[in-house]
Amino acid sequence: MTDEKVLGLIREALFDVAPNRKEEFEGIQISTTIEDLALDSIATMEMVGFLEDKTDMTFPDEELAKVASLTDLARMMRAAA
Amino acid sequence: MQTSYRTIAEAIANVGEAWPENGFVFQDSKGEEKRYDFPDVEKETARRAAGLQSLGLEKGDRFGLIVIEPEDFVLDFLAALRVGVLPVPLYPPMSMGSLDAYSDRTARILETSKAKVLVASEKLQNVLWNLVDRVSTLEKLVRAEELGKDAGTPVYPEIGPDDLAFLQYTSGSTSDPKGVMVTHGSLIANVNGIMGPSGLDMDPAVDKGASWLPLYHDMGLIGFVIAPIVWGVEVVFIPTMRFIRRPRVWMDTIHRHRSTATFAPNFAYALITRRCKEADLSKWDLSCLKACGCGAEPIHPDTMRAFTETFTKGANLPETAVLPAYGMAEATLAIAIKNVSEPMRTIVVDAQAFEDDGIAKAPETDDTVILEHVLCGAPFPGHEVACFTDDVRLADGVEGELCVKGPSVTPGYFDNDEATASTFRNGWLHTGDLGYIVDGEVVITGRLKDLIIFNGRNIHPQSVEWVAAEVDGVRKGNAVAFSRPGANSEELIVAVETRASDTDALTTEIKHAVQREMSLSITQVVCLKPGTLSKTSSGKLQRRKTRQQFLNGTLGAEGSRAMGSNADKVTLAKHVAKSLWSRAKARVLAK
Repeated sequence: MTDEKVLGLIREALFDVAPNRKEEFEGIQISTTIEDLALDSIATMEMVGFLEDKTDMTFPDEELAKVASLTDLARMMRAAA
Repeated sequence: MQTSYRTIAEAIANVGEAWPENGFVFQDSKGEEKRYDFPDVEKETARRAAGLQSLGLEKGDRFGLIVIEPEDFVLDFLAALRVGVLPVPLYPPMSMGSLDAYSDRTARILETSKAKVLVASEKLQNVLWNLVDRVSTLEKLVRAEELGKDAGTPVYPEIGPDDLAFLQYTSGSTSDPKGVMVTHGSLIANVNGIMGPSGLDMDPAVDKGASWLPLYHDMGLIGFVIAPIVWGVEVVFIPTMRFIRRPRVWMDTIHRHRSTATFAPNFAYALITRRCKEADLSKWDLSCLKACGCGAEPIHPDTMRAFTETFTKGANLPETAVLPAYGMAEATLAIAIKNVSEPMRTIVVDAQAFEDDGIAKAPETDDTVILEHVLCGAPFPGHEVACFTDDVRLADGVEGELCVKGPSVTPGYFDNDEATASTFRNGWLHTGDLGYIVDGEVVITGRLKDLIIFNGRNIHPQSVEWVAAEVDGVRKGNAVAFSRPGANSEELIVAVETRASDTDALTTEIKHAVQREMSLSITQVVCLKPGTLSKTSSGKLQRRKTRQQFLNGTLGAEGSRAMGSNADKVTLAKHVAKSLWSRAKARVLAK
C-alpha cells in the first residue's frame, strides 16, 4: 500500500468522523502527527474503526498505543495487510 | 428482594448452584463470543484464585490489574475477591501517542497502592515492563491469561463484610491519586439498591445485561460484574475498544442477546444516535431493553430525548427505557436511579433565580429564560442524600453540595487520611457535586470542585491549566480550564492571559500541548489581555466565575475576539414550542 493510498483512506476516515473539519483534513501529509489532528480519543478510535472496516484488517490495541504519526499508522496498516 | 449473601466471596462461591443456566458471555475484539455458565465461572475463578496465592499474594495484599480482554479481566478480578487479595484495576494504554503520560499515572497509582504484583494481558507485557523498574513495591509482572495454570486449589481465608474487596482509583490528580476502599459490605448494600425494586428491579430468570463499559471503572465493574454475580443475572461483555471503534455493535449485541439492561455515560448515547443508520434501526428490535441507564457524567436532556426518539421510532425501544442515575465511587457505585416504569423526567426552573440565588423556582412567564434539570430518582432504601452549604443543611429546592449517607458509603481512601478526612465528615460523604432535592428526588446541577467530565473521564482543571501555562507566551499561572455543555459530551475551554500578538499560533501550541500530555482536545482557547481573568482578593483564579463569564459572553469584556454568547439560553415559550415540535415531528415521521 503506497503512502498516497494510505493517506487517501485516512482522509476518508477523517471526513467521516469529523465532517465539519473537512477543509482542514484535505491538507494532511504522511508526516502529520496524531496530535496535529487534534481529535479527542473517541474520534481517534472511530477513525481506526473506519480504517479497519475499509481494509478488512484488525489493528491490535497494543500496537495502536505506539502510533504517534500517520507514518506510524501507515506502517501498521502495511504490517497488518 | 434482597440478597442473603454477606460478602462477594460467598456470592461467587454459590452462583453456580443458584443459577446454573445463566452465565457470562465474553466477546473478544473481533466479536467472537465465549460463554461461561455460572458453574464454570465458579470453577475457573477458584483455579485462578489458587494462581494468585501461588504468586505469594495473601489476604489484604494489592496487585495491579491491566487487562484488555473482558474474559481474563473478569475471571482474574473475581478470583482475587474469593481469597481476599485486593485488585487495583487500571486502564490499559488505549489511545495513540500518549504512552509517557500513561506510564507516569499508572506508576504513581501502583506505587500509592503498594502493589506487589502486576497482572497484565500478554500483549501489554512489552509496554508495561518499564513499570517494574519504576515502582519500588512491584516484584513481578504476570500474564493475565496464565493465572492459575498449574496451581491446584486455593485456601479460602475468612472474609467478612468489613474486609476490603478492591481499590477503585478514580478521582484525584496524577500526582495525588486517590484509591477508594471498597468493602464486601458496601458492595452488598449497593448491589441490593441497584438490582432490587428501588433500582433496576432485576429478575435473573428473565433479565440480562449487556455492557461495553470499561471494567476498570466502577460503572462497568460493579454494575455489570459484581451486581450480576450476586443476583445471578446473565451478562454479555463487549470489549470497550470494540464499541468505541464500531458503536453499532452495542445495540446489535443487545438485539441478538435480547438484553434487558445496559448502562453508559451521556456521550455514548449521543455517539450511537449519531452513528446508527436507517438500515441498522430496521434490523434491530430493542423492545426487550427495559433499562438504558445513564450516569458518570452530566446528563443532557436533549441527548437522551434524541436517543429515545430515534430508537423508539426506529427499533421499538420502550419509551421508559432511559434511566438517569446518580452515584460516585465513594458510595460504591449508585445512590439513586430513576424508577424503571416511568419515562425520564426533567424540571424547568427560572435561570436567573437559579444562577443568582441557587433557588430552583418555576418560571413565571413565557419570556422567562429557563434551565432544564434531569431528575435522577430517590435515594435507595436505607440511604440518604441531603444538600449542605458550610455544614448547614438546606431546604428542598435550594442548591448546595450533595452529601450522602448509608451502608453503600465506603470507609475512605486507601492510605490517605488527609483526603479521607476532608471528604468524609460529620457522618456524611461530601461528594463535591452541586445539586438540590425536590420531592425526595436528586437533581445534579454542577460540581463544586470544578471537575470536568469529558467522555466519561474525570479531568482536573488544574492538570490542564498546568500544561497550558507551560506554553511559551502564556503568562505564568494565568490559565483557566473549564467546560461548557457540548452536543455530545462536555467541551473543554481554556482561557489564558498573554501579551503575544499571534494568538492563532499560541492557540495551536496550547491545543497541541494538551493533546500531547493528556490526550484531550480543547474546543476553544480564549486569549485575553493581561489582568482580565477574574481572581480572588488573594490572587487565586476563579474558575466558576470565569466559566460563567464565558457562557454569558462577558469574558474579557469589550474588544475580545470571537466571544459571542455560547450559553444555550432558552425561554420557557421556546422550550414548550420545541418539545411540541419534536413530538409533532415524531408523529409525522411515524406515519
